[in-house]
Amino acid sequence: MPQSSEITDLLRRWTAGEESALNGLVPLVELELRRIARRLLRNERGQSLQTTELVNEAYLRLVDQTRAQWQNRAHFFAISAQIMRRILIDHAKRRASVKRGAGANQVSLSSVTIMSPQRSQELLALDEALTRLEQFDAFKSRIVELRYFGGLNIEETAEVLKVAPATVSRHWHLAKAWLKRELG
Amino acid sequence: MESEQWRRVEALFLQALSLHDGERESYLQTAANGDPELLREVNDLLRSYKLPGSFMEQPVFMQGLHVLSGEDSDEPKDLGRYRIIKRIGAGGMGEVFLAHDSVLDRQVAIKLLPKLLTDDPQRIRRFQQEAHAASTISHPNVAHIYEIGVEGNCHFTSMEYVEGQTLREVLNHGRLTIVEALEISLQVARALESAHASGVIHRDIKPENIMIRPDGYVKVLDFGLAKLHRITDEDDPSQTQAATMIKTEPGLLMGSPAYMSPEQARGVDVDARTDIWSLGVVLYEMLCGWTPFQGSTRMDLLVALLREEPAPISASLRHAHPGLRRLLNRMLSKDKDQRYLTIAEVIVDVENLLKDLRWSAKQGQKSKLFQGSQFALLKHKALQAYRAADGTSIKTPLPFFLMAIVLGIALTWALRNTEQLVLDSDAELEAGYQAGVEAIFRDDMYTAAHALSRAATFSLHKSTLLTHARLAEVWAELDYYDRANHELSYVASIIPIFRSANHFSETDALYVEAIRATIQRNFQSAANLHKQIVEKDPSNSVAWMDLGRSYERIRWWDEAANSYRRACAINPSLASAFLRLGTVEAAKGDTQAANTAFEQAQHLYKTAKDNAGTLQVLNLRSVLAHRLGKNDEANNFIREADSIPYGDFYSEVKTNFALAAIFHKESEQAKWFESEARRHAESIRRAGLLFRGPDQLLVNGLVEIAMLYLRDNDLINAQKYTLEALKIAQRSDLKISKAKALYVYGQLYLHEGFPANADQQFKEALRFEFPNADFSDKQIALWRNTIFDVDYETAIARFGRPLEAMGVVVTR
Repeated sequence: MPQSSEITDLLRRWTAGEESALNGLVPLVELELRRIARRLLRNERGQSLQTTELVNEAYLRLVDQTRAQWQNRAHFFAISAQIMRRILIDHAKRRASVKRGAGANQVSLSSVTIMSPQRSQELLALDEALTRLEQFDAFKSRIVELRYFGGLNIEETAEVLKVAPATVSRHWHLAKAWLKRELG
Repeated sequence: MESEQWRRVEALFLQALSLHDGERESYLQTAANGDPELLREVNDLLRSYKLPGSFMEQPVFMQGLHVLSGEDSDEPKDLGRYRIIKRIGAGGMGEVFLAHDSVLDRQVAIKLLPKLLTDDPQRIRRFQQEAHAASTISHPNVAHIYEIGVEGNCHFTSMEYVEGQTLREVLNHGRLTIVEALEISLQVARALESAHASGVIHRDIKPENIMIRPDGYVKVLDFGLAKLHRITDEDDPSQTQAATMIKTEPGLLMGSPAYMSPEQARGVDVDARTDIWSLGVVLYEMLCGWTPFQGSTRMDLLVALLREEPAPISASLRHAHPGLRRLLNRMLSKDKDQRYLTIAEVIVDVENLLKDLRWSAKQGQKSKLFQGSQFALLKHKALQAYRAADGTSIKTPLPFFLMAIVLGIALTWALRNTEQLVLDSDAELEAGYQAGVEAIFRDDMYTAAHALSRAATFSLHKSTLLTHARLAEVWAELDYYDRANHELSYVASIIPIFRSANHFSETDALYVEAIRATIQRNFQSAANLHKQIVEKDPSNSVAWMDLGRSYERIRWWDEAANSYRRACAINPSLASAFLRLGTVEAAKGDTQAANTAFEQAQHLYKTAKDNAGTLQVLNLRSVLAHRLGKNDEANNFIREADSIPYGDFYSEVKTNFALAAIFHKESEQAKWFESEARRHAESIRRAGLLFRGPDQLLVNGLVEIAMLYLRDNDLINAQKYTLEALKIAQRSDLKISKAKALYVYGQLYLHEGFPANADQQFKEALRFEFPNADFSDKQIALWRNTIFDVDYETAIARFGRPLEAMGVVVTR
């Protein structure tokens, strides 16, 4: 079990603008998300599970509440969304390569149902488009990351980005329109 | 895309979205102002926006969850000759897996750089550097490095797999005994000695990097910051070069700040003595339960590390052996030239200290045994147990025979193990529990919190349940409601164990319920439950004390005084009973009775050489004298209190705030006491003695001063203090303190003549006391009329009375 004091410290440093702290943080958060995901999906198949509950649970388990500030929680959600994005994209890359035949016989049935090759291609295209969007409108790209990969709703996204929900909503509309067109 | 253009697209797009289809076309024509490209872009986006369905509508988070949960999703199956079995941990420097080495047929730990980071050449270099340095060390207390490898783009090391717990995990269950702490330090020191001899400095000694195997063997892991270090002649450049000095990047602060040496924190060159410092911090933490330097931010911590002295170790530790403090002082000397020169010297001192402690423990046991027969000793202990059951001393009432049986077993075991050191954790636990209860009774919640936390850290034992229950009570008193509830749920979880061991009496059950009611601030039913306890066990002075305290909470002074009188009658040497009686009599306005009780309390505390208690009585007496206008007498008490050596930060804060309150009219003196109080509060914060620091004390002190200014009609100062109190309460999420501050804020509005605004504040304050109730404006107003210039507790106690008169029942 990674230490909550270590994570709290890393999170605080990252919140304070120390970018290198993120490097230490990501594997720890990922490990915990994995652990919780496994347990939840084993027990309840995750059907009724809310995104925020999962990330909140990870946060409560990983971060020393007495030392953390409320902004830390917002940053924690942001990290979780980034982790989810990377994991899904890595996964999609592997799935996509399966379609091309490489190592096709190694894939078990259950892992295929998680994401179809077509879905994987869509996801990879989205990831690319999102990276392009980031170059001229990083704010919108972050909103999409938090909402689509992080599973946050408008209000939660607003909390993480410290803006009004209406602002998130406006940017989300245009981001969606732009991405749809790019992927169309 | 040009950002200027994009912004125009955005403005038009959003505006168009808000319009009806009919208006949109004409709006865009006008707004685009003859820019066909802009118009096309916006129309394009609007079209795709309106396209039905998109996989983007459904967050992909759930799929991510499935991928995450897949056992084989992201983890390597094989790494050359190693087969990955499972992930066993992750740290700042990489993930760790348990793997099987197919060539040598053994289990190994594989440390892997996260894939995310393999494109960071600096990190790869640091990783390889770590492994290389560590692989040159061979010592039984060092986890051995077998191989440094690259497989594809996976950089990894394989190393000895150590089963067991990290020292951090061990410490999570509480601090260690002196002997345990020294044993562990000794093994770590030996590992370091061997590393230093190979020219390797660990540079990141911390509890996370120290593994304790089930057999007690210690292994130091993770030479995460190690750099090759050889003692070289600075004047001979060729030799320096030959020594392959590898430096970590300049300006890059590595390591865990709490364990970092001052020279490391400054970023200057370090030598092997940095490990001596870090081991000193670890030893300190094993003994005390917290690290010697604290700060709420990394920067604060570094400042404390560079400027402050460590918080002193507790008296019991200091008295255990004078050498202990010396050892810590020399290990934790900020000037590395004052520190031990080599780890070998540390080893010698630790070994000697251990020898001494074992010897004196053995002597102690032998002398006890030789003084009397085994039977006599058993009888003595049984007698103590009997007196406890009889309620003649502050102890948890236990059935006599049970106590005797347990003692008998313990004694037999102790006799069998005279060759081995036996630290009687039984006695320690019981003493901690008693000290905690005594502190609760004299209203010294901080001491109680420390004593009980300490007693609550050991494994299950017969007083564990009540210790945790008492701790819940104390946390609630200190406004740590989350912790109080946590303790209470722990109590609930161990009740079945105690019940099956036949060690959970009806009284215990009532007691737990009473504490639950108290934490829910349902003081009336808490008082009823405590009343049932004394009815079952009327000769138990502790039960009467608890009943008295529950009456005090609801301001039933007569009933409280009667309960304390019963406690005094049962146990005439129970100083805290007289202390509380004095307080209650003073609240009732019976100065004569209050003074008599205080005198007796003071006499008893003095006889018992209990400085904390004596100090508390003197403070209360000075407050009382001052209230009666007897300023000389008050000053005498203060002077006497000042002469008592008692270096307790909390009572310093409390005392100084009380004095600031007493002298608030003579503003110079008041200011001085106030600044003293703040200074001590700051010391507590720096020492990191409690998670939220001294904020509860601060808020209480500020609220009290604000109330005094209010009564003097000095609204400017009253407001200043109230706002500061409110700010601190909010910052630290202190619930009851915030309610108190809001209440005073309401009083402030009353003084200014804005009852409606006052009611708003009152309503919010009441929300904490009565979370489920929704009071009407009329009810609040009715209450408001009875509480002008009255303190918070009295006001709350008064709530409901006028309502009851109207036939409204107030429930919590």
